[in-house]
Amino acid sequence: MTADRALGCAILLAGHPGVGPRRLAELLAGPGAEQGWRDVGGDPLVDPERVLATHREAGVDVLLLDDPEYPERLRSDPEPPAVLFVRGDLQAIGSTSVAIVGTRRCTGSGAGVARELGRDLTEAGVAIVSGLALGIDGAAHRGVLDAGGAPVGVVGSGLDVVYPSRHRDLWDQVATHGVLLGEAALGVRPAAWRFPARNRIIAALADVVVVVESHAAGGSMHTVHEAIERDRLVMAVPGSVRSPSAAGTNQLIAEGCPPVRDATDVLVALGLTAATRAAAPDPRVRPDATGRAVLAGFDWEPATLEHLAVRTGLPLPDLALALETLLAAGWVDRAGGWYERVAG
Amino acid sequence: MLGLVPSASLLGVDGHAITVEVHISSGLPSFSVVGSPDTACREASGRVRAALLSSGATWPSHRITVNLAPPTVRKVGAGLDLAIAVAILVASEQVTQEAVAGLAFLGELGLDGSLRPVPGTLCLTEALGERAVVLPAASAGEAGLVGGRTIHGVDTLARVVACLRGEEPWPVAANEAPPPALPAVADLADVRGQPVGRYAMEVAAAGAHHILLLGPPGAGKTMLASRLPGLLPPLTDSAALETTRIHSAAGLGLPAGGLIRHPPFRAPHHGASSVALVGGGSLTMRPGEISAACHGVLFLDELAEFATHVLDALRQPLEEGVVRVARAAATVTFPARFLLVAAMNPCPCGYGGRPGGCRCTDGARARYQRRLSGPLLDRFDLRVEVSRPSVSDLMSRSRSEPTAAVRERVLVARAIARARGTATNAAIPVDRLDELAPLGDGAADVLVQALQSGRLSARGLHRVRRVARTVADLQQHEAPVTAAHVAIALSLRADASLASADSPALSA
Repeated sequence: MTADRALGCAILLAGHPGVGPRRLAELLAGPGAEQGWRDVGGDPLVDPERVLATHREAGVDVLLLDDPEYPERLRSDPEPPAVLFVRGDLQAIGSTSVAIVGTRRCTGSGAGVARELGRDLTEAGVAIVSGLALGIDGAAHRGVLDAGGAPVGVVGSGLDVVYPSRHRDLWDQVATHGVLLGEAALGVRPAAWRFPARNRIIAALADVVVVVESHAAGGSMHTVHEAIERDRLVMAVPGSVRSPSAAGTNQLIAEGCPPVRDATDVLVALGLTAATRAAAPDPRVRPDATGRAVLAGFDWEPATLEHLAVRTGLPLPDLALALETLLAAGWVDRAGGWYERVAG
Repeated sequence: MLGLVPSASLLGVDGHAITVEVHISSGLPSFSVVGSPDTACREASGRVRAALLSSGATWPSHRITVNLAPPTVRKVGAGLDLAIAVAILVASEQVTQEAVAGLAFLGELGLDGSLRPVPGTLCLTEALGERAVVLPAASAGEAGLVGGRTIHGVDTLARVVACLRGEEPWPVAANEAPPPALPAVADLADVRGQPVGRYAMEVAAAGAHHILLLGPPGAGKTMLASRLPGLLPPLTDSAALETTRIHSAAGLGLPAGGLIRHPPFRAPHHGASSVALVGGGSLTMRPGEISAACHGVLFLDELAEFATHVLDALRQPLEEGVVRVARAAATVTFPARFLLVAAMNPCPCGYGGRPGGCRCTDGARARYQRRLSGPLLDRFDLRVEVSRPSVSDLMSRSRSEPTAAVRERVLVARAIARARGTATNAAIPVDRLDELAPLGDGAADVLVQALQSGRLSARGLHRVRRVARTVADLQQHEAPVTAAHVAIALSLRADASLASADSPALSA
């Protein structure tokens, strides 16, 4: 079983802290996995076949570049992962796919847009790729799940190391309904350098990269860079010029990236016809006049009680009561001392 | 040859009566102090000898033994200097024992024979019983607060000797205290804009609710906090005496007239140690900042920068109104009933309150928030996001409502609360909430919605109901609290976990 032994050594190399994607590719292409494991000073007492068995028992497929199962999109990439770990069904990648990426520290409205895009594009038959991070990434995956689709999640740690831990439920759902991909062996902790490396896989898998919200310098900008290198179309969701979390996306638009207002803009860019989505009636209880005045006071930006009091001019009892009613009906969300208007 | 003179020494905020005994015998000239003196007390020899010689008295060239009885009480500081000097005069027969009958002596001596005030004069005078007290003239006003005592304020040892020899009459301290001057408190009218921040301070003052101000740098958190003492009612007689005793014992300056009539405002720096904040010290057992803020305001700026163990030391006093400090030498209890005002940025960069506004890494945010324990955050009835006033507000020439006008409403609300039988609304016990702060039509529905959506915890429920009571009292609304009152209380209680990195919209 030398093939298994070689595969096991490839896994060991992929879990070695001193071996990055490029070194791994060089080792596998040159001396081969077994010799490579000896070259990096790997522990000779570890049994590679046992390691491979552990991965198979955990439901993780391990694919090398020459494996027929290896996704074609990645194989043709200039920097393909030499060893790919897969949990779930690779069919989820589909023929047309869009990456939805953005900041972890997003606004509620940004998360709402990401979730809607995920849902609407899934319904139009497009596969959605994202990175399972907090904020925009997670919202996009949840949008895919809302529409009953198969999300594609690319992660920077071992497929059993849930990061961020708050996303454990989402992690499992993505693996169950779609596919989880990564280039780290089981048990590998998320190291800072693994996230930029993961971003190149996201860019490679997608036809279009949509940035929903991004600060002026953020991880999403790295994904954008990787996408441009691969000649992928980058699109961005415009935001308020006063919102720090839209500074990056607005900058992209200023530099010529096409703006995304809704899923139709993305579908047109993909050359697909957009199925018009019948506007569903808003199930929320229509707010009264005071409530509407408070909603108008938001201007679609996060606001504190003080901002709203000044903008609406309402007496505090009326304002507080209106906000409680809007919160209960789902028109408004609250995080700490800040309120945000929620879109339908 | 023996001399006996009563005096007192301070432990915590309590004076202990001490008898200073001096024995002079033949032998090689020497001076020794026994009976648990600390270093400052033992060094009395140098000061007393120089002061006696400067005052025209004679220093006996014999073997002098000073005993401070009882020896179980540790004597701290230089406050026994005058008593030791007088006891030496008696023992060396320069003054008769009869001349000191019915007198007690307090005060530190300068080398020129001048008398200097000692910390805790008020507490020390109380401990001396019915005796007339001879002390530095500068402390006479403070000692006079005890009432019913004869106080002789003298400025030099030479005059004390003259009075003891009957050459001069004892000076009688002028006992009429000057009217308490209104302290120069910062006025609320200087705070431009910020209607919610101002209102939150009003609610905090009216119900004695602890308040946490959240906001980016420059939002005016400190400015608001410093306005709070001006909104509080003046201290009652017993509270004034208690606060004055603590300030006296801590060696803090007292106002003209001696008595602290207005709520103190203490703002320790965030580098404060737990002893500085809570009180203690291995020997002196000095009251800390939280006791100095008794019946007033304790302001902790940059709350998250305080050491975690220092903040956790606040939990017991916040709950019980006193702080018990136990050391190997002694255990003392300090009063510590204060209104806590804290201010902090939501995250290290300061802008994390606004969704999407934060520039910190996840780790930095997590570390920052871990510094505040849940139980401490839970003690704040009010947690308010303060935002920067707009430019037009800052430049506006019109002044906001002044402290005096807001204070009127606060006093009325406090009177309403007192008439219900509780000191303040913050102190309404949980089992009496239904009786004292019943929920009117619709108010329960608002609370149920907040509880069901997870925006309000069971622990927070009681606190919101107390704040709602205060909001109603401020409107002089004595009927059950309404939905609007509860809504205001909820809106003044920002989530303890601050803004989370993950938008709550996703958890729906």
